[in-house]
Formats: sequence, structure tokens, C-alpha cells
Amino acid sequence: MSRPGFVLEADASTPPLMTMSGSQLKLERIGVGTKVVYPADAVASTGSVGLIESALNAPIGGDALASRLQADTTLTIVVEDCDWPLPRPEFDIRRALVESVLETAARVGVDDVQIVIANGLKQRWSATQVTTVLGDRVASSFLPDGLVTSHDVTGDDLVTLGEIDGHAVRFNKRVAESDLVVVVGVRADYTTGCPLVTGLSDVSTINRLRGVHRDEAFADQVGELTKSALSVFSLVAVLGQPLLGRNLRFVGKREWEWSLADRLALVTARQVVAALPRQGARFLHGNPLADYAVVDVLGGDHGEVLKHSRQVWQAANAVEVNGQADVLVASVWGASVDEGDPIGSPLSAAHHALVRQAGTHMGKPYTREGGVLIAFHPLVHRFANRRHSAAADFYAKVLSETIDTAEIAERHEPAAIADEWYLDLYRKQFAHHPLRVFHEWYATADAARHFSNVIWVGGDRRTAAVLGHRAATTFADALEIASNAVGQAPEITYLRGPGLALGDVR
Amino acid sequence: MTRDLASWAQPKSGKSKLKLTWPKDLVAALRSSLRRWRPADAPAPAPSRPLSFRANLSTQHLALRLLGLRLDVELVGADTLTGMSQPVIFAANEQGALDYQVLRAALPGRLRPLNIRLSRTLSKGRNVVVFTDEPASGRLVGEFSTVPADLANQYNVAIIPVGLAGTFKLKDVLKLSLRTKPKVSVRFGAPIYVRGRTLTEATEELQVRVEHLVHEGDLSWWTVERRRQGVAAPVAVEPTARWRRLWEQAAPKPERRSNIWR
Repeated sequence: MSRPGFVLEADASTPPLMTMSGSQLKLERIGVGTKVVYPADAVASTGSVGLIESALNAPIGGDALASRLQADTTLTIVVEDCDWPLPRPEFDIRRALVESVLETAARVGVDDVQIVIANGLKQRWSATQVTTVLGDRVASSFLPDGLVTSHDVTGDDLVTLGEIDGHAVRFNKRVAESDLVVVVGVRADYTTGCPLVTGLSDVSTINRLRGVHRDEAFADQVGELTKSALSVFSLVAVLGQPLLGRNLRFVGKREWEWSLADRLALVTARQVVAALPRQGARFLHGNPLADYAVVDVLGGDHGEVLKHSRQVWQAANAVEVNGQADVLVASVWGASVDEGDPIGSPLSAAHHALVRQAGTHMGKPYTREGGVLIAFHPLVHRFANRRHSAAADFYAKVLSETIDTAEIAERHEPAAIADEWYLDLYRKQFAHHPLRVFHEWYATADAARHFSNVIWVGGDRRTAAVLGHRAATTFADALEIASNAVGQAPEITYLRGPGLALGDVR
Repeated sequence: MTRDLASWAQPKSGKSKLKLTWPKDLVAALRSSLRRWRPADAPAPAPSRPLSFRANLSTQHLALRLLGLRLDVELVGADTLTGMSQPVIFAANEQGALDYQVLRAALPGRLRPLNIRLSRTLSKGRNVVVFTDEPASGRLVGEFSTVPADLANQYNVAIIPVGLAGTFKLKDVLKLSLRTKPKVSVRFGAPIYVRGRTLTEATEELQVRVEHLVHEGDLSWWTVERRRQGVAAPVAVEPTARWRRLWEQAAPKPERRSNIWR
């Protein structure tokens, strides 16, 4: 078990603490009285075979997996692909989970086995990605025969699972027709919702679940429908905090535990990025790998596993914070935002700061209503050509007209969903579905309503204005701007990355 | 309609200039190292990390490249080792005098196993390798003793089955003036954990897995797994004449023409 999270209350003797802004690492002096929230310690992973075996043989609310399999069972292994933790893990635990399920199936002699990736609105998986995540053994056994498929939310072959208030819930055909569905996934945050539904249903159903008019009652009904229509066995690994490689290990360590080597690594990292802003940033922060400890593996009934895995993640990552603050400060590190991009797009950065960091709490937000969020990120206008084509257009064409979510949903969303170019990129070129960026923006805009101001330190002024936020050159300037809303002596909470802390605000 | 943004909301212009940050940072780093600071209520530092490390098999290390100069080496299932906690026991079939050297060269330095003082080596956190006995006449794979299972049980480590193909009489083959490089295949199987079963059962499973790795290198893992599960005893293998083994081993690769006009 790793050390739990810790809240440091800065005083006059506190030296500058590390902040991250895209690919820039900096030591920033934090004001006296600021509460600095450090997530739980990152520890190296250990063998997870025992945990997986226990989850398969002694599941929650049901029989062991082996006893649910017959030789003539139509078995589908669904690999969840929702919000995957970044930086990318050097060893993907989903591979060990899938291999364990396959070994169990082989022992029983199951013939009909297929793997379906529940990517939902995220990019579909290329053969390379399947091999990277699921490993050589699974890829060489299943890919050549076309037995690994990514779900297509726009596919013609989706089947109707049932109707809810006249809305036909269409689902992946193979999964709907399987005798047993084994869902393999990970838990690395505190979100609710069913990744099985959002990963394997059709566009209109996902839009009702995640769109601007989110319908909680509908979500419950869809959950009930899938429960009654499918026989599901879930297998979920709960992950700890990211333990970065040797070059960047200091990023996850607490400053007072830095050795001289760690300090020199920071000096080097800063100079590399300062000397070679593009190449250096890509080299150091482009795609770092991290080791994630497996806290627990849970198997059994889908709903129960979702609930229990959330509790386990809470137990491992909750940090008690006394009192709500006026100002919340968040660092946005590029490597935690967009895979393969050392800085990250402005939309992803805003989503990360507002939804992922500020939104990870146990019901009581870090700041009071009308507080201020100060985030560190350069907000450079850059989007990946292929993967973020829809996001780039959303930023340039939609946000330049309006940031109102209802108006966007009414005027711009239908056209984007029907755009053949975006759909072609999604189906064939491994890009995200165009609706994904809309959903991210709705969540970002919703989260921003809690704050009176969102201020980006070092952010591009035009980009911040397009997002409806503000920009400041320095942290002190940002606090000065914030003082209009929160006064001269605000309570400040700083979320120190790169991991995600669960705020247990009392 | 375009939104009216504030007049001062202008994008950043110009390229970022080269900055020299290290002198100032270095002074600050040295100063911080000399003047240690620690919050009064900070939790105690985490205990030092265990000696074991996670394996990460690279196929680009020097020894393998050097081996590739003389042999056509094929690594199968190498990703089995990725993420494994060290140490492990490699259990391989013995085919020829160079098996040990080939296996060692196929693995990077930190994973390279020893075959002497097994118990002491494991207790120091290093990998070991155990080979089968000499195969009986007409068989490709000899019998495993219970030593690997016993050691795995004692130290609570995994056994990695390894199938070596193409190393039979390799020492003699390498003395010949061949035009093509002899083909050698090193095949790693899924780890075996002894926990919860007897040493005999674990040894039997190991035997079956290594035999499959040696015999069925061309089949996929899933096919091998499914076959394996239905077989209780080691597979009986048709006796093979020695010359046929060498013949297959020395089969020429399809000719590759690098330039279409040649």
C-alpha cells in the first residue's frame, strides 16, 4: 500500500514548489497559507496474477467465470477504452486481464471467442494499437482472423437491444448476440456512468447519455436494459498513481524528498525544453511511460464491480482537505492531456483542468460557488491533423461564434455528426468521432459555471478569450485578477500533479 | 456571426527565443540541496524500494545483434517477459551445447540467467535457467526434473517455459562454410505459477508447455493454449531421424532481392 495523499500548508519557510504548464516545468513561489494537495504516492507495480485469479474464481455477486463457460458458449471479451490514464502505462494491465480470461476459456474448450473494443466515440484501434495494448500473443492469435474489432457507433450492423420511451437503444451486434460478455477495464478515476453502454451503443444513445441534455433517468433505464439483455461478467483493475521513468521521476515526488539527482534532472529538463522548445519537449514530454500499481482487481456482476472499484479507488486516493477554498490552482502537464503531444490542445487542457482535476472530489467541490480557477497552461493553438480534426474545426468555427452549449447543440452538432469527412476519419483513419469534442466542451462549460473566473497563467490571450476565460502573464498577476472576485486574502488550494487526487473536502 | 473578443485578446506572436536556464537553476538546486527543508507534519519517507525490478525485454541489445551476425535468431513470445517481477526461472529444453549461450545472448543483461548455484542465485534476485535432461532417442524434448517447480515454490517466483529450436548440433553446423545463417528460434511461453498445486503437477504442465513451444512454433498462442488444455500428458512425438531435423533446421530462407533490376 502506498503512502496516502498529503496536504501541505505553505508558510514563510516553504521554498518554491513545482508547477507544470504544457511542457514547461517551473518552481513557483506559493503564497503563505496555500493548501497544497499531494496525491497518494506512486509505487512500482507488482505481479497481479494472484489478484486476477482471485477475481475470476471468487467474483462479487455471481459464479466463477469458469463455471459460466461451456464449450459451445459464444464468448465476447469487451475491452473498455474510456478515459485511459495518462501518461501512458508501460505495461497495460488489460493485456494480463484478457490473457487470463482467454486461458480460462481455453481450459473449458470454448471455440467461439471474439474481442470487441468498446471505444465509443474515441478513435477505433489500429492493428498496431491492438498489439501494443493486448500484446503479441493475443494479437497474433486473433487479429489475422479478424476476431478483434473496434466498435463503430455509426455502424449499419448495430442491433436494437430494446426501446426506452420510444428511443431504440442500438448496440454492438456481436456483443448483443453473445451468450456471455466478459468486460475488461480499468478504474483510474472517480467517474460514474457505465463505460459498457457509452462504449458499445449508437450515436443517439450516447448523445442522450453525455450530450447537452443529459438524462440521468434515461441512463438508469439503459443500465437496466443492458443488465437484463446481456449476460455480463466484469473484470476491472483499480490503478494507483503514475510512477514515471527515471528522467521524470522527480515530477511525481514531493519537493522535500528530492535528491540532488532529482534536482539536476529538473535543471536538465528545463534547459532541454528551453533550448529546443519543439524537439526537446517532444523528447521529454511527448510520450512518457509510467508504471501504475494495481491496487486491486475486481470481478463479477457488472454493476457491483463498477460500484466496488469506485470505492477501492476512493480508499486509495482520497485526500482530506479542510474547508472549501476561494481559489483553486491546477497545473496542466501536456503528457497528462493528449497522448503523443507534449503540450496538449487548449480544449483538452481546459477539460483536464476543469473536469478532471477540479471535478475529482467526493461531492463537495474544492472551491466555493463563485470561486476562481487558476490553471497553468500555454493554450497554444495546436491540434493533431488526423485525430483532432473535428476539435480543430470546433475551436476555429464553433467557439468563434458562440460558447453557449445549448446553441452549439442546436446549431452545430447535427452538421458535425453528419459530416462525411469527419465520419470517414473516424471509421477509417483512427480519428475521434466528431461528437466527442462537443461532449467534452459541454462537460467543460458545465464545470466552468461553478467558477466566476477561469484564469490561465502563461496562456495565449486570444485562445483564453475564445474559451470564455482570461489569461495572465504570471501567477501573481492571476491572483491579482482573481482578487476582484475573491478579495485580497483568498483561501487557496493548489492541486499538485501529475497524479489525480480525490478531494475529500470537509 | 463571429463573437467580438476584447481588443487586447491577441495571439502570441514570434518564435520563442533560446533561453539559458541551467546556470540559475543549478545554483538554486545546489542551494536547496545544502539547505534541506521539510514540512513539520510531512509523513515519513516511503521505505526504499525492493530489489526486484520489472522486466522489460528489448530486442535491440548488443548481444542479440552480435548473435544476429552469425545466426538468424527468431524471438517468439518475448512480450511474455514484459512486466514480470524478477527473479524468474527459465525452464528450457536442451538441444545442443550452445543452448545456454544462445538463451543468454537472446536476453538483455538484467534478465540473463545463470545455471549454477540456483538457490543462491535466486536468493540474490537474479534469474536462473534449468534445462531438461538429455532427450530419449527419437524425442525432441527431454524430461524435466522437479527442480524448477521446487525452486519456484520455495522462492514464490514464476517459471517461464522456453522452447529452443534450431540449436541441435549448432556447434558443428557453425563450423561449416554455409552461405546462409542457421535459423535459431527462442520461444517464450506464458509463466507458470506453482502455487496451489503439487510439484509433480507443475512439472507436468511445464513439460507439456515446453514440448508445445518446441513443436508448434508456427501456431498461434490461442491455438496452442486450446490444444494444451485438452491434453493431460506430454504429447508423444513421432521419432524423427537426426538428418531430418538438421535438414529442416538448415532449410534456406526464400531469396530476397533487394533491387528489382538485379
